[in-house]
Amino acid sequence: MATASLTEYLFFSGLLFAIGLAGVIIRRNIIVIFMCLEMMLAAASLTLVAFSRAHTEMNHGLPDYDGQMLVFFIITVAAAEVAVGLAIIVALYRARKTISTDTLTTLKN
Amino acid sequence: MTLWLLFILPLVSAALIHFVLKQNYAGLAAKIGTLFTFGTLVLAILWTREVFTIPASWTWISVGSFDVKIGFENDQLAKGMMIVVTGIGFLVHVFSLAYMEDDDAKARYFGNLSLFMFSMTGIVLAENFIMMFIFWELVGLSSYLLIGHWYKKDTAADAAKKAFLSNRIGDFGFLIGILMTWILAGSLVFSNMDGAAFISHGECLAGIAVLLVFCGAIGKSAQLPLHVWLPDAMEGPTPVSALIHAATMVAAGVYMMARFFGAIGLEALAAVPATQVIAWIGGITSLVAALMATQQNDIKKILAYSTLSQLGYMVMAVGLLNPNAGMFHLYTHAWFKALLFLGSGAVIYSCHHEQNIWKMGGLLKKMPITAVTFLIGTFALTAVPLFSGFFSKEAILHVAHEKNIYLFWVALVVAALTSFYMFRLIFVAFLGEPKDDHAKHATEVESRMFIPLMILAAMALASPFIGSLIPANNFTPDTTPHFNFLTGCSVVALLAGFALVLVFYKGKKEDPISIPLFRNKFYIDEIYAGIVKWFQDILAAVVHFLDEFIINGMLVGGFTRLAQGTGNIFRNHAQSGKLSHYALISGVGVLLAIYFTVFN
Amino acid sequence: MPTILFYLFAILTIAGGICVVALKNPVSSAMGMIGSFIGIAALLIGLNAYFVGTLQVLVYAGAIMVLFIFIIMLLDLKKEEGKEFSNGSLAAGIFIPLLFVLITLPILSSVKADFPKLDKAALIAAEVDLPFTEVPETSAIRNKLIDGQLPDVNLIGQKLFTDYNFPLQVVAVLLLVATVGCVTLSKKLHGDEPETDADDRMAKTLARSSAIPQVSIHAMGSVAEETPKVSNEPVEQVELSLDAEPEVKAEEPLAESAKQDEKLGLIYEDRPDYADDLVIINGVGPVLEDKLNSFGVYTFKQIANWSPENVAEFDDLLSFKGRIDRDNWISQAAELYSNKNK
Repeated sequence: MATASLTEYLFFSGLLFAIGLAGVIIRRNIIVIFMCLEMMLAAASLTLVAFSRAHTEMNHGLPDYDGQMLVFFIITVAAAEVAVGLAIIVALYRARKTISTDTLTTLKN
Repeated sequence: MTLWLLFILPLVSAALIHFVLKQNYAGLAAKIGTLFTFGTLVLAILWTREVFTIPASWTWISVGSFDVKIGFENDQLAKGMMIVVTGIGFLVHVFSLAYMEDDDAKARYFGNLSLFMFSMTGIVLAENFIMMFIFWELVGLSSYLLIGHWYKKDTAADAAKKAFLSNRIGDFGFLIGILMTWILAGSLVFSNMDGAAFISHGECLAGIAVLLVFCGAIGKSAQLPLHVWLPDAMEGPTPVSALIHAATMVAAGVYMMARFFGAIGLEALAAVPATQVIAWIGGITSLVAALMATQQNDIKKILAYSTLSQLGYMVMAVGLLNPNAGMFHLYTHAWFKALLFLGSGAVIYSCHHEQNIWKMGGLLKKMPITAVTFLIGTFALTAVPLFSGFFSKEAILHVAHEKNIYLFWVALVVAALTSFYMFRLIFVAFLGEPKDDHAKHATEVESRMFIPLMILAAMALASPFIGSLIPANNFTPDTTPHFNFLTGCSVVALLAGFALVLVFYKGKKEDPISIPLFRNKFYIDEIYAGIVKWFQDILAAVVHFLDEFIINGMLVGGFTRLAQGTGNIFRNHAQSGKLSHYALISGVGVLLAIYFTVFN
Repeated sequence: MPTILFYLFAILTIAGGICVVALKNPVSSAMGMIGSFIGIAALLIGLNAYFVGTLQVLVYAGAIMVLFIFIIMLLDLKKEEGKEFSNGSLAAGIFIPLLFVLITLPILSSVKADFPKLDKAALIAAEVDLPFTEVPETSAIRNKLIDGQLPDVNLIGQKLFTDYNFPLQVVAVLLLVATVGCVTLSKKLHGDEPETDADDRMAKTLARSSAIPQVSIHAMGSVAEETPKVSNEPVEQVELSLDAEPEVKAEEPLAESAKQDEKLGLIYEDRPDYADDLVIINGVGPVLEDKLNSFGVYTFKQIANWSPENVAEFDDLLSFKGRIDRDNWISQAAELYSNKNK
């Protein structure tokens, strides 16, 4: 039966990345913005794995695992980042009693 | 001995007094100034005796083919004028030794007098227009310094400024006239000017050049539009008025016109109708000045307006293309006007600086020498027959009668007015009873004052008869008294004035006639002030508008606002503080990065 | 992966993503996110990346999303207040990603490769190719390949611990640093007081926020309405990292219950309307604040006006042993009071 090709995988991961970007721009709740950020990272991981599966020249006909290595590290770093980021958000909430980016504008001007 | 000595001596005196002696040696400075002036007088007399060789001109500036030289003229015009300048200058120095004895700034006074002598010498001896212009300006400067001698008095400082400014305005036209003359006549050196070439470009251009050169004379000799400075110049010390504003400086304008007309040639100028304008300006000036003089109460002001009036006569003669008659009158006028001014100085001195004639009176008995010399001067001025003024005025009336009959009648009326106001002065100040304490206690002045008066009186009587001193080329005055229509007319005018004065002013204690228009000098000063103010206000408003709205508002302010505005635009968009904005900008950046790496 | 399955999971992923962006309730967004991650994990497994796919479920959907939901619950976030997404950001947020998709379409059209087959024959052929220096004779990799299975984990392991050993160690250190950072960030910034129940504290903070009086008397709604005024002030004090709560009001009138005590200074019997949040002062925690309130000290102004006798008195009463001077309560209170009344 027909199988999905690289093009389709790339298309959907690109679409997911775009949705994540839209979320970062549109949403005002910091936590949701953070989630969209994670979504972008996940989309990138998907792209990397797709490419790793597609190129088998280097590895004697087996998938080129360099891409999957990168995904491994991406996931790890994403986990660490989420932990620290949420800690920051909690501290921010304690200080400002708000998590709406509309009102967190002290960088203005 | 060369003429350079004559030229340099006054300068040396001025430098000595101003730089070396100064006020510490005021007495010494005064004596040195007088001594040097005497030396100049001696040299001038020797010059008339044809003792000197004429030195070659010395080139001062050389630009391409154009040279500005310092050189000397050597004709009777210059010699006679030199005698007038140095003679009256010396007598004024002697008078000042007594008059300015107690002044605080005596050294400065004598230094400025020497400077004036130097400048006047320069004008008289000048062989080209540029040199004359340089010394013309120097004379203006000296006049400013001398009128403003008592500069701490506001009126004196203002008067000095007014004199200098009026002079300057005239000089503006004068300079343009000089340049036009240079182009039309081909040379700036008087002896090289070509009369035929001058009028070959058309009588219109020649007329404009002549009138512009005459502008200088209008300023210097105080003719009608620019006459306003001369009455105010009476703020200066009286000897200064005698020297500068009666005898010499104001005569410089007439001298310059005579020199100029001599250089171009009278035949050439006969084809230029603009000279009629000169004559009429002279005539109208003399009439207006005489009218103004009839109502003045300050003795020096009366004499000042009288000077204006007589200058009008001289200019009229020059304008009617008879500069010799004008110079003859200048010559005789210098002596008797200086006499009148110094006499008034003596009167003022002994009445304790009182200048109002209605506070004098009976001075004939109190100060006989002064009064008699003053009377001689008056007779000369009003052209009583056989006095010097009679001969010179006759000459002018003769010229007017020949050339322009209207001007003749104007001159006659002026003669009557002259007689009127001078005898008014005599009757009120010298005859009658003393009207004031000072006049009651007036005494005769000291010898240093009355001796110059006596010498001047002698000259007032004898000057037409000393032919070698008359500053006019190829001129012998008609010194035999005729009795014809002209003399008859002038004698009638004289007697008419005298009779009127007898009627109105004999024995009076205050002025029976009051004509405000004459007394306030036809309000010309006020009109000038108004015009200047109006002009300045408009100019200031325009400049203010330009400065505030265009330069400050649009240019400077505009650039500021532009910079601020663009900065604000960028700042408001780049630094909004909103996370979504920043994310948006990052997203756009990513897009651009992809576009440029992949597609280009 | 068969196309049908692929599209199924792909649509699940995209739907989850859209839920995250579009739904207002943060918990709903989190759920959508989990669905999206599961979809991605399925897609990854379809790419024969079994290890990464499992990792995705374990770490992402498991740990990370649980952490998100935990924080959402902790902060007790309500729905974002009824305001719609602002038009500007909505338009930009749709437009830019759309441009992004469009710009990548031409790139995609140039990539038309099918995945190379990884069936039994290919795997056996690959086994033959493997160099013996890298993969020894009797390794599990070779055995599995001969059997016709893809030894995904083994291959990843081999690569990770040989070629990527150093990055692995670095990432380990990174995780350590992250852990320490989290702990540090979570510490409370003021007060050495033993922390009470976290929820309790949070609730108290919320209650106090909602009780911040304004010039007008109407009761305060949610935090969101309050905070625009709060956070629009610029951060003034440097010694406090938290922003003071500026209250927009005039000079405090004395409440009726004010009285002057010689030892304690000005005190109030009852809590006045304009009581201040004394915890903001460095050195004052909630417990201390309660104690101060019990003595009738409610506002910054009172503390700022303490005389030395008052300071000594409170030092005794609260058994501080000099903390008031050490932490400089008076100058802090004075500055807070003056900032408040700007």
